[in-house]
Amino acid sequence: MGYQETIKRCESMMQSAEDLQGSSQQIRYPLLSVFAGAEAVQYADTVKNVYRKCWMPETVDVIPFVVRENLGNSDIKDAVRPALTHGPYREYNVFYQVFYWDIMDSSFENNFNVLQVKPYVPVTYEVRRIFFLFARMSSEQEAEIAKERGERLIAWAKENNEHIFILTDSTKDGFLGLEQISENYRMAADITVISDSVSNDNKSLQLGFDLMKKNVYSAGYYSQGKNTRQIVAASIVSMLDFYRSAMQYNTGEITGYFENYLGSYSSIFDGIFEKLYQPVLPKDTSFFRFLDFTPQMDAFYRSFSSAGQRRFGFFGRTNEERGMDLSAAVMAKKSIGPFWQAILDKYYVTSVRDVLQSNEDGETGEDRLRYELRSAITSKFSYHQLMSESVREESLRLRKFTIQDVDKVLPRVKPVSTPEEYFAQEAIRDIKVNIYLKFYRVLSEELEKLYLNAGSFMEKIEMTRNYYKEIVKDESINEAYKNIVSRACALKPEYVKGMISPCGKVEELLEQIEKVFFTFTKDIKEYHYSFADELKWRMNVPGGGAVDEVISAAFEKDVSSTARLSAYQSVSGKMYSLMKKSNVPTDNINAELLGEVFDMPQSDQLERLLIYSLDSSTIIWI
Amino acid sequence: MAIERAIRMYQIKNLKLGTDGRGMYLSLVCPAADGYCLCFTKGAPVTREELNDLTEEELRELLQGREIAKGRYRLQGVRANVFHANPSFRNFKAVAPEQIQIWSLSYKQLANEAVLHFPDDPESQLTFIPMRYRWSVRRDNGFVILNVELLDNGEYESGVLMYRVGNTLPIPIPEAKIGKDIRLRVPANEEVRVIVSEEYQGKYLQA
Repeated sequence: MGYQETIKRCESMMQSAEDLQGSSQQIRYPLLSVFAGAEAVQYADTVKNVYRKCWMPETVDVIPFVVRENLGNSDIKDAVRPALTHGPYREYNVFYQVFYWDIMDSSFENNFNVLQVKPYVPVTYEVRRIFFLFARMSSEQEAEIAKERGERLIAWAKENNEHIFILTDSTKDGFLGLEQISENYRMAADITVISDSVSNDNKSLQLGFDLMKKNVYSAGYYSQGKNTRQIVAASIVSMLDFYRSAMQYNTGEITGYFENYLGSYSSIFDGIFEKLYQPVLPKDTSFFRFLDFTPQMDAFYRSFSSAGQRRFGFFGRTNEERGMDLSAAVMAKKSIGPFWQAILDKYYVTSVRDVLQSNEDGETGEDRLRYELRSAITSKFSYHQLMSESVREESLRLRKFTIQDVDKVLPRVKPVSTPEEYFAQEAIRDIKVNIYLKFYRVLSEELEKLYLNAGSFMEKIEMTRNYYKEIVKDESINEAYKNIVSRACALKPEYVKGMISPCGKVEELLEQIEKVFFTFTKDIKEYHYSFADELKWRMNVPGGGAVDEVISAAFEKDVSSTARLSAYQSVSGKMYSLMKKSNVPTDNINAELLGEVFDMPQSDQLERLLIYSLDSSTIIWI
Repeated sequence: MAIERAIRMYQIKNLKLGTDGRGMYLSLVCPAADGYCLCFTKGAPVTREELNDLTEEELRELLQGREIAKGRYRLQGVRANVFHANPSFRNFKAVAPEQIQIWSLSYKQLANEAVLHFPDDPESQLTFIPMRYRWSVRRDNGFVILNVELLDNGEYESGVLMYRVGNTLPIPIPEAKIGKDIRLRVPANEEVRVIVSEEYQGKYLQA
């Protein structure tokens, strides 16, 4: 896990609920997607995410992908059958084979040999092969490689009537930075989804068919959308700032009894028990009425009825006020010992053990317990305080706890009205004695870890904060998200204070940050605003721009200046706009600039695509 | 060590575990086996992976009729001519409530190799030695007296049998209370019955 991955994961948490719910497009024909070469393999997920957005994740999960830096001879052949097996497609008379191919690396010759061989496909299918060739031209050496291979591939495409898109990192507006390289894969994926989609009202664009008319293409691309990357970065910076300032107020030495700072271990443990384990324990405990009625049980029951008589006869006290005959209770429980053990095993021990051993999305029941205990500590102590020797001493003290110690500190069952109630509470107490010993052990280990990691934690916080701060360029985003994060944290300090805790590695901190961000996206509606709504909302924050102006500006942008392959000819071709139609007002937009609109279920972004064919003799390679 | 998928010729059919005046017996049909491996176990049936630590030598010994104890299961090999010497095979010891999985064995003479033929579904080629039980209730002076007895010699695990009053949760019966009276305070209109816990269904049979 790294900083970039954290941003990507957090960005995906911001997807609007509306977009996740439904798609306006369906996959039309069988599709096989092949990724070859180092860079293409690296961006396979970018392409898959575009597919997922357009066709629903479940659809994309069942269509085949071949992702290999160095393709093997049978890789494509083996994928044909799964691709043509009955799947989520609307029609079966066309078969798309789409190749995302990084032609710059040393696997080129091998991949070229493999890709020239057309796999067997029954004649009932019209096969449409589209090759997206990704090249880099930012250094002289790279430009030479791109030229040599590009020209070879153009000749091959013309000779064999193949259809290639050449997408380089060079545009009129300058070279693409590392972060923009993914745009090339995104636009290739856009071309695939436009070609192979049919909308719910049975309409589809003709792009796939049109592409079969020429051999050499390139494209230009411009996107305007919610800047999710900066939004995530700004939120993380604010979250860490809140953590730092919250910790500054809490630097006092730990003096006296450690447990006093936390309230009490019993109450923390009880809270965790109630949250994690109580739900799996028997709710209907009426079976305790039917235990083996030994003479000791008889005496215990009698003690209740005689107390009842006293209550009405002489003392006039209520059930709650009078005490229970504890020695009779203990004798009764002892007399049914084997039953008691069997009941505990079946309904209590096993259930709690199952929760501890459960595994949900890679998080075990034990991880959950650790997290809860760690949060309890870090919500009360700052990392300054966790560096204190008293933390280590407390850890050592707790490590020595025995089951007898736990039994001693756990409160006895409170007076109850019936023997059944007593047994029900006693069963809970017995299971608590068992599991709280584990709580003490885990707490001891977590205290030790916090103590060891607290010293270098601020360094990790600073490093991480600085990294994300660098990403935030737009002051209006910075202001807007700083406001909502600090407001949320002020209302619920446990967002940050409990969830961020001293840890040994930056990766662990990033994991914690993702958890906090996830709770933000659950609780704060602004994170799920559409592109236009987010702008409207941010407009009220100093520094924001007008929505219409931003949308108009997106359509005024000359996309030909972003063309991915330059030529001594004017770049003209067909324009496509990809957006959620219902979200972007298009009435005032010039039809030529708008081009064909592909209804993409994405409310956070609008994309513009220019597809043009090329006369190979006019290409400017170097 | 060779364990192969049991193809048709090595699949065991008509497996039957019966009891008569002379005790328990097994009968089965398998066209090509040179021997059989009886696997006695409790709990879940033994999977093919669990047999991975069997050595080639041990497999050959099973074909010779040897018994091998391995962790949670024990194996007994029987040569086919011994197994089929009489209409049914009686020379095995099992303790209720065990289950017996039976797999065919073959011998490749040239390679001096014994092969165990394991079925695709470990639950096929399996039979139970059930534990029989009976229970009674009688009313005595306002109490219900429940008594649960096991009719076979075997190992009882606490909680396998449970008694249930009306619709309340069943109460597991500990080993110490098997064969002994359990005195319950049960209203006259409530029914008491004994049931088998879910994971032992089919392994305990009411007589």
